Amino acid sequence: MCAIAVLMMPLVTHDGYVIQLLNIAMLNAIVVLGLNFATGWTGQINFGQAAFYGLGAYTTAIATKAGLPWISTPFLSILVVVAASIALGLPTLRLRTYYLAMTTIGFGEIVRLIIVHWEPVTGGTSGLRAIPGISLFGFGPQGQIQHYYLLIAVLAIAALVAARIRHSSLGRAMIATKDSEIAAEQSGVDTTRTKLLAFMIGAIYAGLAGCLYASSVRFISPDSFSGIQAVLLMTMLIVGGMGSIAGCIIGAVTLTLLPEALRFLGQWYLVLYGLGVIVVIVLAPGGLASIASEMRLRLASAR
Amino acid sequence: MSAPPILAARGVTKRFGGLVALDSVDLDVPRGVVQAIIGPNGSGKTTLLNALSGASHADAGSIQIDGQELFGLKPHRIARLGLARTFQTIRIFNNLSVIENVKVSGACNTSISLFGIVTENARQKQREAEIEHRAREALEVVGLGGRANDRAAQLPYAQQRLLEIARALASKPDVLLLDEPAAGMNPEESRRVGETVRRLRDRDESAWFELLNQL
Repeated sequence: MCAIAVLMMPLVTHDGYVIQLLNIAMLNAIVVLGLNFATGWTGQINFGQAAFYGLGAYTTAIATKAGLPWISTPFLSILVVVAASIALGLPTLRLRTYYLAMTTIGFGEIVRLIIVHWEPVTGGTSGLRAIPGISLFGFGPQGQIQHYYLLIAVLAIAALVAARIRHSSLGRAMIATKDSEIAAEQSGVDTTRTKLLAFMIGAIYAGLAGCLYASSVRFISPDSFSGIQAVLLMTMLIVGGMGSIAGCIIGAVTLTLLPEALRFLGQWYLVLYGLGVIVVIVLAPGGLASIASEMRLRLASAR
Repeated sequence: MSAPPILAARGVTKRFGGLVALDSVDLDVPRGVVQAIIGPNGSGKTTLLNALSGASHADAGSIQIDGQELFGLKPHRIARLGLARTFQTIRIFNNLSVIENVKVSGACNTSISLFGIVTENARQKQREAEIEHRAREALEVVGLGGRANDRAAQLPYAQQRLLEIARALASKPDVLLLDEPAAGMNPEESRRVGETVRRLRDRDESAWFELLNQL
C-alpha cells in the first residue's frame, strides 16, 4: 500500500515544486544510507559525508561540461570518492570518537575551500549552472516526474544493497566493530579493514547521489555540500534511526520536507524544527523507525 | 611427551611502566588437555592471556601456535591462526542476534567478496550457509540453540558467558583461552560451564586453557 502511494504521488500533486523537493529528499536518503555504514553500523562518526556528496556532484558537473558522455560520470564519481575516502580513511580511522569527528570536519572544510577557491574549474561561490542532464545513449528522463521515478528506482536498489550487506559477514563485522572492537578483533575481524570498507561504501553512495544531483538539478554550488549540510545529514540519521535502513529513508525524507511544510511560520520555523528534533531524540532515542517497531511489538503483545 | 605442544611460549615479558607484570613466562600446552592458571587478583593471569591473544602485546618473548609465531601479530590474525578467547568482563555484540554473534567468528577464515554480497550469487550463498552451519553447531554445544534469534543483550548473564564460549568455538580454534569463565555465576551455572568444557575436550583435539580465580 505504501509502495502504491509513493508511485501515485506525481498524479496527486501536479506541483512541480513538491516533486522536486521529493527528488532532493530521495537523494538525501541515498546519502544518509551511505552515512549509516560508517556511523550507524560501524560506529565511526563521519562529518565528511557532505564532502563526498559534493565531490560526486562536482566531478559529474565538470566532466559533462567538458563534453564527456554522461555514462562515464557515475564511474568517474565513484573513482574520485573512493580515492578521497582512502586518502581520508587510511591515516585517520585509527582515531576514535571526537578525534575522528574533528578530522572528518576538517576534511569537509578542505573540500569546500578547494571548491570555493578553484574558480576556473568549479565556478567558485557562484557554482556551476547549465549542467547537462542524465542521458544514456541519447535517452534520459525529461522533467521532474520522470526523474522522480528514476530516483525511486535508484533509492530502492541502494536500500536493497544496504540490506544485503547488513545480512552478510561484512555487515555483521561492521556492527561487531561498533559494539566491541577488541572482541571483534579476537573473533577474527580485521576491524581496520572493516572500518575502511564502511567508509568507502558510504562514500560511493554519496558520490553516486552527488552525480545524480548534479545532472538532475543541473545547478550546483558549494552551499549544498557545506559543513551545515554534513550536520543535517547526521541529524537525519539520528532522527530516522541509526542502523535502520527504513530509518535512514524516513529521517531523510522527513527532515527534507519539514522545513518547507513549516515555511508558513516564517522565521519561527527553525524553532519548531529544532524542538521537533529534540522531542524525537528525547522520546524515541532509537529514532522514528523505532517508534514503528515499538508499536508493532505492543500490538502483538496486546493480542 | 613426544608430541610437540600446540601452544608454546618462551620468555613472555610485559611491563607497565616500572611494574613487571609478566617476567619471562615459559609455557607449553599439549593438545587435548584442559589446563588452568590460578592466582590471586593482580597476579597477571589476564595480562598473560592478553599477551597470548594479542589484545595487549607482550614487550618481549616468543609465542607459537602449532609452530607458527604469533608475537606482534594483530589480534585478528592470531584468531585466524587458531587461537580464540573469551573475556573476563563480558564483551558480546549487543546489537546483533545471538546467532549473528557467533557468525562473526564463524566467518573468520571466510573471505569477503563485495561483488558476491551485492549480487548474492551461488558462491556467496554457499559461504553464508557454511557460516550458519558452523554457528548453529557452536550454539548447540553450549546449549543456546533455542535462543538463536533473540537479541544477545536479552540473554541472562550466565547465558551471555556461554554465548562468548560459543563465539570462540565457532572459529574452530586449536587453542581456546577462557578468562574466568565462571566469574559471577552461581554454583549450578559454573558446574554447567565446567561440564561444557569437559565435553569439548572429549570431542576435540584442541587445547583448552582456563583462567580461574583462587577464592
